[in-house]
Amino acid sequence: MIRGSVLYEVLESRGIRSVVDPSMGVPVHLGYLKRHGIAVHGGDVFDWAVRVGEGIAVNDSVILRDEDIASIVEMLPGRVYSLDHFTPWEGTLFSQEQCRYLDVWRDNVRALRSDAHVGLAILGLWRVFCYWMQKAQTPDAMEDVAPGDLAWQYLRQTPPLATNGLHNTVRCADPATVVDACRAEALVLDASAEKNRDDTRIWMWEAWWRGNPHFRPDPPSHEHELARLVARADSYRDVLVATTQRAARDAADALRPSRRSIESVSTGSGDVYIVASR
Amino acid sequence: MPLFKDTGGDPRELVATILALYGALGDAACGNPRGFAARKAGAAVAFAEAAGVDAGTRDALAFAATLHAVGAIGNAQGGDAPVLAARRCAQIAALPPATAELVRAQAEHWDGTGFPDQLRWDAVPFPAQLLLLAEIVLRSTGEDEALERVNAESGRALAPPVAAAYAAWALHGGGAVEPVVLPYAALDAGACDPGALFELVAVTVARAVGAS
Repeated sequence: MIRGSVLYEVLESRGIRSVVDPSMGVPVHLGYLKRHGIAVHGGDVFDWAVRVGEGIAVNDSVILRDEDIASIVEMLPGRVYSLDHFTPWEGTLFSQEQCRYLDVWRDNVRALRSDAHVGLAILGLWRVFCYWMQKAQTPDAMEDVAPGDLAWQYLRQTPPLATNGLHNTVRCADPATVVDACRAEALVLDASAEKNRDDTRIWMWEAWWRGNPHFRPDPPSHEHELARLVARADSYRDVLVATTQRAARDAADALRPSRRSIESVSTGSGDVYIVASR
Repeated sequence: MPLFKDTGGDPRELVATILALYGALGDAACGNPRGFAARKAGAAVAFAEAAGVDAGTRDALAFAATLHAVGAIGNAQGGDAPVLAARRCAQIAALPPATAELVRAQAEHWDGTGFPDQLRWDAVPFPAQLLLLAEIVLRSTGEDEALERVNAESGRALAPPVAAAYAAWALHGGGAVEPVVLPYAALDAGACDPGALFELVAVTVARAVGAS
């Protein structure tokens, strides 16, 4: 997982003012960079992650107010809900009540008035979902909290509004398409992005957002391999790969055929950035 | 001219004393009660011992807890205080290498709602969770409230195993948390320069006073 504050220090030391992350995942790091004046562009194959990007990377003006939260958390009179999308999840990871809430929340989020509202709502509710998943594993170690209360609490904790006065974008596409479509000074790649996407909590939330409990992610394509992505990144002055001490050499080897200058920047705690320049 | 005359003693002791002073200045800057950093260090190290954390990491924890608030000096808004604190720690070459990163991650929450990086799950370093645990416990009015607050944060700010470990620690007597004596032997002797460190602290404070 890329740490925004660490990445910012690496970017700042090189005078980089705009980045593209084509496998951004939950883009909290892009939110950090945006808050500090960097133009950010991101992409992901999961639509829910892109929606969250709308909420925290693109959004310049929307926060979730109490009336917004109420319209997400509660069943609204007059709205017709379909309450059986997530029946297959009942009894294994979730209770019947939780599955009903997942349906209600999904319908309510889809009816919100802006992409930014939708993104912030998806992020807050995802944290509820993760809480439930964890509680299913360690039931005695965590408090029982009513679903509505938990949703209120997490929706109120969505990140503070950040503006940088710049054009920031996100798109739902595979990494290669995002690399081709965006322009920035630096391309940022997380060597562990594919592994992160394998996390059940990540892809099951895509299943929720699609309303398809049987959804499973496609296996990663070879087109997403580091060397192939870097080979098509000619327009980027710098390529930064977030990796670990252990995997640093492999990452550097992947960059070498396409880039003249390769530098390894150790940031502490085992994080390493391989910075490749033209 | 060196700021400190060489009296033949171990310079690491003097460096540890200056670091404790730096930590106390950080506490003062963010309105913590007197001695908070030292107590936080004591609590974090006690929890780490109970959790079987290795000695080197415990030493880094002691320094990280001591310096936890130095990012508040001259930072009235408090924005990005852990990042600023981590940068200030990174300037002190004598500290155990993990110190700065623990300071940076001290306010991260296990569920991803913390700051500055909103790390989540295993991305939050376990020792940083112990710093947060110490903070929660010390800000409680007593053992019962501490236990209640830690339980409430299980699966949220704290990883469930961290909260469970605290519950077990408290159940088995736990004990009063004493302020820690900084493990000066863990400092890098070759990088210990009391004069340079004192100057660094003085300049930081002078800039803060100038800024306010």
